[in-house]
Amino acid sequence: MRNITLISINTLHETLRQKLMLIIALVALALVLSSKYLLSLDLGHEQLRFVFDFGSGALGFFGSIMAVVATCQIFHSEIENKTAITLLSKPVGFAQFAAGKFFGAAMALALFAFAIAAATCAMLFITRLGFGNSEARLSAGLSTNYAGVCAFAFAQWCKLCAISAVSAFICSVSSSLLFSVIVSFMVLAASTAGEVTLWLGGKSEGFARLASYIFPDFHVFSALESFAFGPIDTGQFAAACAYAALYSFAAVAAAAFGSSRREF
Amino acid sequence: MNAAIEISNLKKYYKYGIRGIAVKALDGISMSIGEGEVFGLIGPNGAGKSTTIKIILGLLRPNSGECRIFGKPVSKDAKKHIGYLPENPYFYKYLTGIELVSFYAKLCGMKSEKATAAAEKALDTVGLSDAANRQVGLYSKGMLQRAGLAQAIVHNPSLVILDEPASGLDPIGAADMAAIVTRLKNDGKTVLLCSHMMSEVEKLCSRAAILCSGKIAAIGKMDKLLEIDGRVRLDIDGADAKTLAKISEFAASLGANVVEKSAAKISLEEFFKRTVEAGK
Ligand SMILES: Nc1ncnc2c1ncn2[C@@H]1O[C@H](COP(=O)(O)OP(=O)(O)OP(=O)(O)O)[C@@H](O)[C@H]1O
Ligand SMILES: [Mg+2]
Repeated sequence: MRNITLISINTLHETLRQKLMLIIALVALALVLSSKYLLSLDLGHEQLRFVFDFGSGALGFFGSIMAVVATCQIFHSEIENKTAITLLSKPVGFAQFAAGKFFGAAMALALFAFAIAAATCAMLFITRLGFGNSEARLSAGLSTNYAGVCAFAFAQWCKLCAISAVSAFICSVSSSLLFSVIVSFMVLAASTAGEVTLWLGGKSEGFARLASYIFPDFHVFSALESFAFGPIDTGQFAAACAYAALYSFAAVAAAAFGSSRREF
Repeated sequence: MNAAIEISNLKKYYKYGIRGIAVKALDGISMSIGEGEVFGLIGPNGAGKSTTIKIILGLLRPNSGECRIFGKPVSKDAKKHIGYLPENPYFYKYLTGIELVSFYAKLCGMKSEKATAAAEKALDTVGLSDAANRQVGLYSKGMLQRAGLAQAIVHNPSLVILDEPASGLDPIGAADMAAIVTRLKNDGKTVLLCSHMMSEVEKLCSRAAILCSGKIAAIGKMDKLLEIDGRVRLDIDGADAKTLAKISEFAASLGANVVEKSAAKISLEEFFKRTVEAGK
């Protein structure tokens, strides 16, 4: 356990130094913050929802990119720079190696999710302040549940971790960074397509059903958006987080197995 | 003498390309390295030295054969007692020297403060204490090599495996390295030294094996391997040509032959060291 912690903290350092991650995080943050100025396009009473959608979009879209790219980069830099050889010559097991790398990525993603969530809450607050006297008309009866926004962001983080775990598994069996990134994005696209199909009322039958077992099924997460302006459904929240945790665990276990089969 | 490393009939084929063409890297090698021994593993490029070492560490799986360390198959626990310097070591660029070495010490189970103290000591041993607080990404090649050595000895392992430790080191660094190996030997540690510097291997190792195309071409005690049957060497001081001729005659009268005559020289390495010392 201690070794996993050591490796993941080390990995976090490494990720934070990757300027690309910083840029994605800044762009996402800038988007959320700039939603205020886009609002001058007078959207009437949908303002609050608009701000929230902006934040959740930034978290989902940039978060997914970051989860894939950062995880692949973390694994492949370790292998290509041959630092893995030195690391594994110490009393470090393959499972510890995979878990340490995964948790490092998860911590970086947590920082990202936290930043977006904080920015979104701040924007929602500022927007509401700006309503002034016409509060009743502009808020359209919506009252912001800040805890709900945070719960949503947490669940989204769990989802990003699941994506990261899948990438970790792909990296553990692939030999090039490019291959890992492309395959990870393909898996991501497959599961997003599944999510959209279900959202549009498609049935989960036959092939779609099979695919939803193999590819992460993220449609449980889309429902959580209602937390922002309504009560938190604890059951739904717990189910989504548990699903992501189980999926991550399985994928990290597979990644550990994949690394143990690999030659360094 | 107990065996620190015991290898029997190790075979390794690398597969590459889509068709899976195999390269024979190791073709059935067997050897045994005793505890407390400094063992040299030498051979031309591509002979399979690094492959052997990676199999010993469990980083590669052999196609057949077996490798035991202190009588047991390699395991996570066994690695606590092994220090390894990879060829061309690369490290996490953004860590400072001291952070890097103490990270590895902690991985070996040392407590935080103990790890830092051990790291300081190891860096001092390899002559890097001045650069301890600089980022490893800014190190020169030789400094990286030294950091690699520090990382290999920081947890006081009983078996140290060095893959080309002197590559990129200046002669003084190489001498430091040799001194470290000698000290490890005096502390009763086992050292497996893989090197292309013949003089170094000759000086340091008590036994050696020459690997050639994945096979052991020669193995044995250093003295025995290099001995020329029945010959001795004398270094003579203050003899001119006439004296030497007389000595030759005298030897011949006793039935011995002087086969070779040349001026006694110091090695270039020795000369370099003296010159640099004098210039300081
Ligand atoms: N990952 C690999 N894939 C395919 N072949 C490999 C791989 N690593 C090594 N080889 C081959 O295995 C053989 C032995 O390589 P190895 O690195 O063990 O040599 P070496 O004795 O350490 O050489 P050097 O003195 O150059 O370090 C070489 O023919 C090499 O081409
Ligand atoms: Mg080599």
